[in-house]
Amino acid sequence: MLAHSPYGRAAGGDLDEGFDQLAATSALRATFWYWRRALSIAMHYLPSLLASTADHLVHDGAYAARALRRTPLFTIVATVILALGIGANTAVLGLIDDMYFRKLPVPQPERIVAIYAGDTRNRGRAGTLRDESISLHTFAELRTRIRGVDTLAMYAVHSLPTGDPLSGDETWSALVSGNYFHVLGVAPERGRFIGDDDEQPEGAHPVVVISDYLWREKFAGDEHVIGRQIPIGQVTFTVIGVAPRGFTGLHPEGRTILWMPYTMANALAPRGTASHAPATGSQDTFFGTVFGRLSANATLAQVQASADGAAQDLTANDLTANRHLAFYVRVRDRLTTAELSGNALSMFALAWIMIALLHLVACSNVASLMLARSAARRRELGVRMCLGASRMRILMQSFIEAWLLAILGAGGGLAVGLVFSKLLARMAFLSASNPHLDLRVIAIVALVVGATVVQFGMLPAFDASRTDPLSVLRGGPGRARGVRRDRSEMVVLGQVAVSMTLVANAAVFVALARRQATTSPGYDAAHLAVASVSLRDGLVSPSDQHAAYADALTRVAAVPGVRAATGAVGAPLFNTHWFGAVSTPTSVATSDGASQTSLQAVGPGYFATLGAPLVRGREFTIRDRLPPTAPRDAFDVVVVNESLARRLWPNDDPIGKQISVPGSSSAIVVGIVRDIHDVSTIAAVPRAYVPLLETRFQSFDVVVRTTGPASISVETIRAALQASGELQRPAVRTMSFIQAGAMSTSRAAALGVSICGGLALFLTVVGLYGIVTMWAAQRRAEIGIRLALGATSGNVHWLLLSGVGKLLCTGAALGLFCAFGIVQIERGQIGPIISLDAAAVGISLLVLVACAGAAAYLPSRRATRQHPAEVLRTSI
Amino acid sequence: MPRPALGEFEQVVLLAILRLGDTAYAPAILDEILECTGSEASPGSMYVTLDRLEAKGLIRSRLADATAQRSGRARRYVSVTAHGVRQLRATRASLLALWRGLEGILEPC
Repeated sequence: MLAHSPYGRAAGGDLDEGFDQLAATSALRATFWYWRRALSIAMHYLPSLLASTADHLVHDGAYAARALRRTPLFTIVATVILALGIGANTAVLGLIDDMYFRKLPVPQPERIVAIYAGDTRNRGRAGTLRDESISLHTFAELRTRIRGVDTLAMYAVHSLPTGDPLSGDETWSALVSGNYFHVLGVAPERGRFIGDDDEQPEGAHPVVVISDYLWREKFAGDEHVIGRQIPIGQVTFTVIGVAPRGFTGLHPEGRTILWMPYTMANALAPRGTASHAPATGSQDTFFGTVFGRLSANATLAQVQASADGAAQDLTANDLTANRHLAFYVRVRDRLTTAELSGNALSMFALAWIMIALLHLVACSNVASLMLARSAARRRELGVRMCLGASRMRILMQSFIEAWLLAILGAGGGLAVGLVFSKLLARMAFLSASNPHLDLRVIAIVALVVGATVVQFGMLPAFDASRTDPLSVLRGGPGRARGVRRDRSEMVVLGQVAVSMTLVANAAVFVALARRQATTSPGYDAAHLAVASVSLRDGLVSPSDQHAAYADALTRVAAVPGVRAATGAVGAPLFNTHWFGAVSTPTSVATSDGASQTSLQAVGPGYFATLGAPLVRGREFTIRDRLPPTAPRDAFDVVVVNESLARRLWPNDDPIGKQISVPGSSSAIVVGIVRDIHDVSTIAAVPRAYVPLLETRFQSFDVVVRTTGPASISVETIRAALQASGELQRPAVRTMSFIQAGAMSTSRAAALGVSICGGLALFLTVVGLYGIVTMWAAQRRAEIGIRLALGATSGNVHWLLLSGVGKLLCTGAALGLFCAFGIVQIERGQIGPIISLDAAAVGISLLVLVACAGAAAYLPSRRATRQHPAEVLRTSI
Repeated sequence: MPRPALGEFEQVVLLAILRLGDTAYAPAILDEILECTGSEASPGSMYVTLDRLEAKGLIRSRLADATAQRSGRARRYVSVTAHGVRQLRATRASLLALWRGLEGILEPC
């Protein structure tokens, strides 16, 4: 502390001397005397110490800047590596922060509460909050029953109809109740918000509020946007307001969002999942999320108690079909919560771990570069220490260099982070990553930069500070005694371990994507198209619905190139099946979920059109329909898939057996069909198929088998359906397109982890190449002597590569251990389709060893090719 | 005659150094001040003052041989430079000029 003052340095000796003299008489008195004086001296030198430290910082900063300028290649490479790492980390951490931790931009967000419907049987089970949205009918009942909340509002988010000018990956529509904005307490940036007057009468107020981002991006910040007409679906909406900047509502789905009254839902008829299930009435066709603002002095517990009472009331008065209805009240002060988003948080966390590991490898390479630099500057450091520079000063200077590099990297990282945020938002269809710069983002960047400096700056700094000046003056290597021969080995070992982890993880995801691509779905996807249509409003009687259905099939069948067409509510990969208790007279329906079986309504000839082979029996025919007077959903025949047949009749032939399905306790099994696999999960679930013509439906899908490529017929099929006055907004897609969409997530994941693994491997190869080159340079003289004494090139290879072998073995073992842990976490989140099998381990080991072996072999071979005489002449 | 630019504690330290002669080093100076003035000087102030006096060119220092008793660290002996002596003289003259004529009030009866 007193090193910068000559008298301060002498003070230490003076204190020791005085202490020794006093200690001869009284040790206690001597100690007291010593510390009193030491404290007095320290206090007096503190201001000058602080001043000199600041002075040193400025000088060391200037010195470090000069040193970095002298080695521009190193500086640029290190800055780019750090910028990419810092940017990627910042983007992912920023996204997690935005979604899970940042409060909503509304007044008193902590008083916003949302009410979710669920099943009492699922209480306490993970994912409970994602059970069900709330129907409009239930919403109306809740409005009169819930206490402790000022008023309840409701919203539902849908994608815009395909082909709309505003539709795209990122534009979403929120259908909201009239008091939505009032409850949230936000004021419009321009124009006005949707109000209670815009709710009624139904379909009479085609007005829309647009988000600030949408206004800027798609309307180019038009000053006269209010009053502009936007065609959405078949309705022309009028823009009445612009939401304040940063406000995206309560939903993380999209930052380019527009809000419209929920009473425009039928005019817009977005195809939500609910509309595919057999409808029970118009009130039940619109589902959404209900929320409100806590009244003054009300607590969450009071609202929950009131919601519990409401659930009991609705069940007791037969106001709900769900006999196990429960409501869950939660504070909703953020875009989403871990409870709401299910495994998304874990997936984000895993993605961040991948990126952080990659960043660690990149930092290790920068650390290696700095270590090599510090070795090259050993003489300079030794001379500076001989001239009086303290170890602390050398340490600080190395740290300042690391900080300067990190600050350069942080500048680039911010720019990279903003670009990555945009990409992430586009990939994940999220609103959260509005590229922005505020104190929270800066804090995150600072955190990442701090961690980065620790990762790449600490080792080289301590290494530099342990330079032995005497050894340097004698012309030696300058390493202090007791310092390990090579810290670079530790760095490369870490790189190998991290690379192994990432490469093994990439192998797992690539294998999954391959399995998805090669697994047969159980039907012939080629030459298959699916047209989704909704029935015209007011078409509620079964006979009208069935007539419209028959009309649609006739029109499609008449299209040239169509070989067969049939209908269904949903098609493979459509999430439109529903669950119900399915049992046989001999089995007992339990409530543990095992008897909750997937059900799907399909038309006559569905399996033949799909190309899914029947194992036994027959499929539905045109005769499988109930008379118009029969109750709804009274199925008399059922087709089961093999999985359900195995579950219900493990040792018996199901054909002709009686089965109980929701709506009918005595249906007869008439056919068994092969399992249809979901290509994304490579799994088949037990499923019972019921006749479409024995249900009511508001929308259905026409499954079309074409003679030529399905894509050619898409437009003609759409035109044929559009010509019908009974149908609305047909959307036609080929089955190949639907399959590609279902597999896109895992393909993107495979691509992402493969890029991470590849980059980590590349950086490790560079690191290994560097370390073997360094070993060869350090042992040049020894190698020359060995070669002169008759050593073969094999001996020299062994000398250099045995060290690499040790590094590889240890690193690979460590990496595999980590990979196993990560895959276990992923397995828990994604499902059993993720597994680290022997093939994945073998392939990743092979890739690592091949790349690392090549990287180490090249410098080793160069070492064996040098002439012994030349080496001895120049090295000794 | 140079203008006096010495603080009170600087004068005290310089006078103690002159009194000690060749054996002046920090602990001895502190003892000398205590003995002559009857009050103990702060060790911290003393070291900082020595730094300042050397920076002003009023004292110079030399290192003695290192001893084991002092953990291998040498004593730093100080002596007053000619410039320091001139500064002391100037300060003394200034003070005497101020004292002059006040003997009737300030000298003890």
